[in-house]
Amino acid sequence: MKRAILIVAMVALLFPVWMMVVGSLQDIHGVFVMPPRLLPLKATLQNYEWIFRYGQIGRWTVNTLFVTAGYVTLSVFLSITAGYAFAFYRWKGKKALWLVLLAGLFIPKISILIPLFVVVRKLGLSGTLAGVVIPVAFAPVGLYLAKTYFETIPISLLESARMDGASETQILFRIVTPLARPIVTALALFAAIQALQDYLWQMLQLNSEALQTLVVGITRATMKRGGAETQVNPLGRAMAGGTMLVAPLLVVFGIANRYFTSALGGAVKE
Amino acid sequence: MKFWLLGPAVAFCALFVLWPLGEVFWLSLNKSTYIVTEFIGLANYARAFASPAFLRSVLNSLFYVVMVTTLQIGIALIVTLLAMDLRKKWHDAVRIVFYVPMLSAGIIIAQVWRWVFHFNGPLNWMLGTEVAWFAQASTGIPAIAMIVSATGIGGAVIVFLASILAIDKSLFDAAVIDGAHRWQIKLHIVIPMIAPAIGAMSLLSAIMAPQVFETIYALAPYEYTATMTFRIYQDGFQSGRYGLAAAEAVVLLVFVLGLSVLKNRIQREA
Repeated sequence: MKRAILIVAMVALLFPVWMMVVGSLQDIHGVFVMPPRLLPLKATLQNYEWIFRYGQIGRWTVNTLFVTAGYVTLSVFLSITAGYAFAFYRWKGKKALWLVLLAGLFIPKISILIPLFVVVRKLGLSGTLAGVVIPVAFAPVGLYLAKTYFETIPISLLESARMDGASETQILFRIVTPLARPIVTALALFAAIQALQDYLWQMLQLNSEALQTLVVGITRATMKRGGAETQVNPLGRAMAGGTMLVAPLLVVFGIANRYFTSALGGAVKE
Repeated sequence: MKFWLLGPAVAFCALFVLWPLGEVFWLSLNKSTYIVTEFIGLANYARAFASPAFLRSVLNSLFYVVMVTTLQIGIALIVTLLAMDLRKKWHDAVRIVFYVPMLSAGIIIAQVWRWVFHFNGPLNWMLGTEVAWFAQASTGIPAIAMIVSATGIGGAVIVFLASILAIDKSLFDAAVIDGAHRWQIKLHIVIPMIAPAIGAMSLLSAIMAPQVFETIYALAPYEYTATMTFRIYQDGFQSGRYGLAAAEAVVLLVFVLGLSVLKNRIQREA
């Protein structure tokens, strides 16, 4: 009985993703055949062809890789450097600084986004890919998870390294980071998901078509309304776009799901 | 010089969280198109609270908070309580499957829901109805709340499961000896023991709900379904009234902080 309920719930959760893949392979008639088919009626790649014809997929992919790589690197770097200091050092005002750094958790993103434009322009980053990455790279959740995980590492390890003359920077990158590989991997994965999914910020920041990322470019292309050309199979195309966007995320998650779940689970054990 | 490690995170937080935060307060006191700015005191706040569209979005946000938090936390709790007695294999399956909607969140999966709720789509076919689901608040808001809820269950499941598995098993054995039924144990021992995790995850859901943007943007970009975030986006980025949008963003900030205070008060009294 327990198992039956769980299985029904799991099937229900996977259903939308499955139907997106199926729908992406249907023509306009197939999409609206009722009852809905669990496999495409007459599989066609026309929706994908359309996206590749009207989108600059190659270019957008390069941009996306750049944004993702930059975001992952920067965001992990910020989390582990500060996480190390908060896990192993003591100083006056530590608690206050911790609260300030974590305040971002409780600040709605849109409240920051409006003025962030001013900030990005003053820093000369408007409309560039760096301008997409840098302003949102600091992740309070990542800092929290890094610090919590680092605290499980015995401080005696650090001390013996210090006796051997290792600098703090060396200890962080040569000793602590390898020991904390699960959390570092998890942080990288969270960052990658964030970079691949963050439509609102990337859409606001990237106007020029040549600079768009996959999530912005594909969404704009498939959501464009009006005109005979777009009326052929808007739902099928949109689902093809969605499938192209979720595929890399599923691959990333499939490779390393145990890191995700242990990182999130570990956070509550304190 | 070991404190350099704090530098990057502090700098990023100052530049991209604190500075914009200061700017948003200042902007809210100005009439601003970004190019021309004129100090007008609290007039933007007066205008926001006189605007039926904004008040509507505040009311909607309250609906979303209640619905999304109840659905997400309720389902996550039921799933975890069902899965806890099963073998590890089931724990892993539940963790992974419930996380998948998180990967396809927001803009990616939205088009499948457009299909599900389409006039000629599977839901109307199944119910034998002819409802335009997003055409009025009474069906649109619950539909969006449901779509949004599905994406956030996974995080709560992972955290709840980790908290439950960390409970000392001998507590359960003692209760069994005292003749407690399995569901009594869950209600009277397990739930109180993971109450802090339930509180934390409820707060995260509640904070996220008024910030829903992409699902509304893609499926129901209307006044009657708008969250505060969507309203702010329209007033700021679409109508170019940045001062007004900033004032509304400050109200949202207060709204979210209010939720945190409310949660702390509830937890203290419990």
